[in-house]
Amino acid sequence: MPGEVWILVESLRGQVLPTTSELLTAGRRLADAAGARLVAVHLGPGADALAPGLDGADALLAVDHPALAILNPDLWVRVLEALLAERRPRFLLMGNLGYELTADLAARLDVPCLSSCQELVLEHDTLVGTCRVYGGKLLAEVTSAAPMVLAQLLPGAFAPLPAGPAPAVEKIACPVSLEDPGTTFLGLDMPPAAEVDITAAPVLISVGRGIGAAENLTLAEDLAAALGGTLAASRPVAELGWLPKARQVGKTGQTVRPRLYLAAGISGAPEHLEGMQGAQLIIAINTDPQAPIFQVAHYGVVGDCLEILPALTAALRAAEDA
Amino acid sequence: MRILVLLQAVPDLTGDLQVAPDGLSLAERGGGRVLNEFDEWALEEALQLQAAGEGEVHVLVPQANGARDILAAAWAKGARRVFLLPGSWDGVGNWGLARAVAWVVQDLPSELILTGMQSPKDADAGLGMLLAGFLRRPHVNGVRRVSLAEETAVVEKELAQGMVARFAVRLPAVLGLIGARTAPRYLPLHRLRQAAQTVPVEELPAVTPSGPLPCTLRRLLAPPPARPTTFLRGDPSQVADQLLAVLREQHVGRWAQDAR
Amino acid sequence: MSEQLRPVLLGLTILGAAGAALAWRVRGWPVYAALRRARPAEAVWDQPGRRLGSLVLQAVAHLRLLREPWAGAAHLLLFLGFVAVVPETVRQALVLASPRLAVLPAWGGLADVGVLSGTAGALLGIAHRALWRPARLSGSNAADAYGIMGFIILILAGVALQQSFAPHPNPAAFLGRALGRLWVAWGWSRPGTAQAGYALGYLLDVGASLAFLAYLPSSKHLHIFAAWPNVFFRRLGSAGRLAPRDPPAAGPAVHSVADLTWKDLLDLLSCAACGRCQAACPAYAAGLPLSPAALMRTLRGELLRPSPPPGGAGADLAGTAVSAPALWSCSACGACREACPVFVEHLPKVVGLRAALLEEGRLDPGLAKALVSLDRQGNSRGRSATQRSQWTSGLDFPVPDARNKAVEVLWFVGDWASYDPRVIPSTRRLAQLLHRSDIRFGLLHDAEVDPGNEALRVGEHGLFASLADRNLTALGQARYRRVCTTDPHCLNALRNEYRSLGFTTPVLHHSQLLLELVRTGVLRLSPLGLRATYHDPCYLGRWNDVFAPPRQLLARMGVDLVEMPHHGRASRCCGAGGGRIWLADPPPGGDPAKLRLQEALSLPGVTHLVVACPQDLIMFQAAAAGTPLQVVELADLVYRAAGLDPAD
Repeated sequence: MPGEVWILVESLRGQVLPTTSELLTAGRRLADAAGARLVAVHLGPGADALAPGLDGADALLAVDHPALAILNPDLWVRVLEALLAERRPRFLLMGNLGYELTADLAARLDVPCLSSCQELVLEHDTLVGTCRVYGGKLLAEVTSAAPMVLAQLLPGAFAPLPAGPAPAVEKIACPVSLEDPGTTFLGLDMPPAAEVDITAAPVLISVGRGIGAAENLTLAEDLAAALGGTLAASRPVAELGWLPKARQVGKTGQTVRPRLYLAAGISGAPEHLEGMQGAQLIIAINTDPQAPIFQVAHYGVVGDCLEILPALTAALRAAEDA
Repeated sequence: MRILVLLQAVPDLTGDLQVAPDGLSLAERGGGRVLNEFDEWALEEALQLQAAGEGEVHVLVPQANGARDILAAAWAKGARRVFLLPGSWDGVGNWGLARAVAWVVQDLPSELILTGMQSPKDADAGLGMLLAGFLRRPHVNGVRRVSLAEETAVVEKELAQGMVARFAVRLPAVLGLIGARTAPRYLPLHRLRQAAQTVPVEELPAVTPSGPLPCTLRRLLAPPPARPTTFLRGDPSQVADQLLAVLREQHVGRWAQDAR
Repeated sequence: MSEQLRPVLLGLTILGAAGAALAWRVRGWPVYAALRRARPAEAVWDQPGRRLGSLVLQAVAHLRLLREPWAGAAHLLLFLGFVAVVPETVRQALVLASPRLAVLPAWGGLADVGVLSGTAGALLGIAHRALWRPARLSGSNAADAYGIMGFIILILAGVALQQSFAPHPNPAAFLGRALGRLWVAWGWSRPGTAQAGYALGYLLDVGASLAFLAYLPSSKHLHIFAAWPNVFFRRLGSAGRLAPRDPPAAGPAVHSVADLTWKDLLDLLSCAACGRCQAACPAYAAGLPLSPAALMRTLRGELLRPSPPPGGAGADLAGTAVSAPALWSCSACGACREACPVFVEHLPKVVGLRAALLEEGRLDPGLAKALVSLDRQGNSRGRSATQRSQWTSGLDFPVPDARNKAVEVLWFVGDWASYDPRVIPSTRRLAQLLHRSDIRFGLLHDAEVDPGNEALRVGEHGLFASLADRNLTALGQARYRRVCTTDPHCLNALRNEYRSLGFTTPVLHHSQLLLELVRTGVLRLSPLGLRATYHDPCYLGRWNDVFAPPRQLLARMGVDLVEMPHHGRASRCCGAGGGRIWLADPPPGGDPAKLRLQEALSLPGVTHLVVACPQDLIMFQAAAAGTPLQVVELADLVYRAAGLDPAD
């Protein structure tokens, strides 16, 4: 029997996250190409409730242990290492959890790993991954014919899989001792209650480092007022404290899918693209024509947002008056 | 307590990056190599710990263009010992590099290894987490703050949606940093120049990565646009008029009602 | 005089003199020692004739002080009174010590003129302080000031009293004789009374003088000694040069007053806390947390502090005694320096303190980013060098690289004019003007880097040296006769800072080059019929003395020029200079650009604010948004007047 294709389920508060659905897409393609089973792997309790959200997988393998309820790096690596060593799947695909787990597992098992893959195909028996490198300015095609490969997929790079039947759940006992953990979960700090929910806003004016100075935010505020939009920010801008963390878009911020996402002075680091590429209409303004944001933008303006934002505000107001 | 900070020189992402004729490496022109941005956080957090009397910072940099400057800068900022890992690391990916580092750190005892959460050249995986795996040490990646106790480090890990998880990590451990308690400190150029003259770089014995690399770089290429971007041109007011037309056509903003 | 009185007065005089000497030993000696220990200053003995002339004009004739007529007049009266009275006082004491010295020439009536002049000055001074209450004096030590006025009045009263009771009054001493007649009329002519009156007068005169002398070393009035050498040794030559010719080996960072040169210390001792610098400071006027006068006061306090500062001798001044927000409020505009009657140089202290902040590594993120980018990319905009000449792509002619082709004018474009989309349209228009004028001009293209004018003023001298080195290499590879730039900050670096590095080619501002083209008939301008005001860029005007060419150019275009209240040497900065334009989180307070714009807006009928500096264009365009005022670069107007604007 050819080695299985595994994906690692990502869920939050009993809900399967969209990244998992993307993993199912990528996994399904590989499984079909290899003639293998697609198995979703879930660590922690609550597998039954998650199963309907994992339609498309052939099976759901669940290690039902309360200590695994939250991502605990050391425990998760231990359990996955034991599972992989014992069951030898051909591929394990991960999403955001991959940033934490892929490399450590690969090194422990001495198997190859790929990061930030936006494409994965099988050429004969060789896996070819296309990885986003150098801040998205270049792609690296990496190949491996090893019997087991771990891959971390770039969130947003694969479309979610259309619905299918829910997989059968196979619960197994924890294959390894969880005593004396190397990492102990101490607690979760929730962000301060947000004064706005940018995930619910239909129009986002999002500012990045290109805005230059905190005082230039008024340019974006003016446009937001004229357009009926909400202000959002890239990580550096939130990090500088120019806008509250609650308005940060990206991997460590919010994932947004607004009607319009206007990126002003945002270059488009992979972690940012991940949080916004699902927007229906993306307009990007940046001085660097090579900025990765233009790879996801529908409309691009190579220019300075300090100039374009007020011009657009003026045009909107003029149109309103007309 | 010894804190080993692993720093890497990476290509400067400002401006055009071009692939060399071999299709596998970058054409070295324009901007040189600079310290990986995430590694700056790791160094800063380590120096903050040292300033708080919680440890002594040692720095390890794999040889590359710009590596000496990185060592000098870390020295000038307060690192107590700086090590250069000789060798050519461009073709071996982080995998080969992490293996070599795992080998040499056995002779550089440290309770804590800090490095950046990721680097722009990670096609295989981040250096820090690979190293954790080779060393079989506990790790946390995506950490923005570290405090030290007797035998553990307490860390804050950034999660999605602004949530932060706190972990106690048993030492020795490896942490990948995404932030620090303060922004990386600035080093005036004359201090760097002075340090470049005086930095006592300790060159480690040469190691060659053992064993075959599990994956191969086939080629580097410029990304095709994921979707065809329509570029709007002209002076700001012309661009604004075109944007206005787009918004109108797409029924966005005040034209949202028109769509219903 | 009775033989009983003389030893008493003599004894008291000796006692007083000993007290004054002790005060100088205790308070004055450490200052002298600090001056001896201080870092060396640059050559100060060059051009002795000019220095003496300046001493006469400024220290004696009060040229700068009289810019404020009333306060200046008060000071002049006091000064003249002092000069007239002091020799008489000294003579009185000497004669008392040895009657044979009575052969010394008597000052006579001049002393009385001095008494009247000094009294008038003191009263005017008191009135100025108490009634006019000028804002610039806020923060100055009022007790010190009133105390000194009191001393002066006592001394003057003493001189008059003494003369009036003198046994053999000087025939020319009209005041003494008039008072003497008054005493006689009042019946105070008995020998005992006269002796008592004389003794009282003597004690007031000599005693108060000695007390004053003893008080001086701990007071701002030390300036009556320090200001003379300070004016004599002042900076001559190019004002715009900040980089020292021989940089101190330990770096320019000022961690404590021990890191200052003796000339810096003399500056501190010369400062009379008059507050003229504060009144001229655009940051202070806008409400930013900076007063150059307070800075001087703080540093002077550190210099005169008898014990080590709190936090130990090693504690840095920057960030403690002088706050970081104060230091980052300074736009290095030089208005303070221009206003100072004793020629204090404030900027080197600010920059030295900033350098100390940099050594600590804690600085504004925007500033840090700009500095890193300057080092890595050679520009502060975070753009690649290859994009520097991208602005030329909008032209229908190529602009040669002066390294490959000899040109008449090398255009040093600068970061803002090269990269900033708000400035690029003006850059292109100037290129078209030059092209139309058949001037052979070229660029350094991707070899040009920011000249480091602001890096230096931020306190990053190492970065400045590195940038200068890169530019000088490129400049050495190019062939050209003159250099032209639209950016006064580039002009200042190339003209002044690079001169001491061996670069001597003439550097023109584009206003000068354009005026030349108009004068020689190459460019023909037609009247624009505008009513406009012109903002003098700090680094073109005050620091480089280019005031007339832009105005003459405006006149040639038929522009009706209306000056703002602050113009020319007294022009008020937009707030961008000294690296402030890079700050991501500027110190809280007002906005100098908005304040300056108010001046332009207050001028009746003025529709245009003409600027001649890329940073001004950026600052004022932002500040003028929503106002009827149009901000235009000088070259834009010339472009229109030359008939090149297709819109016309």
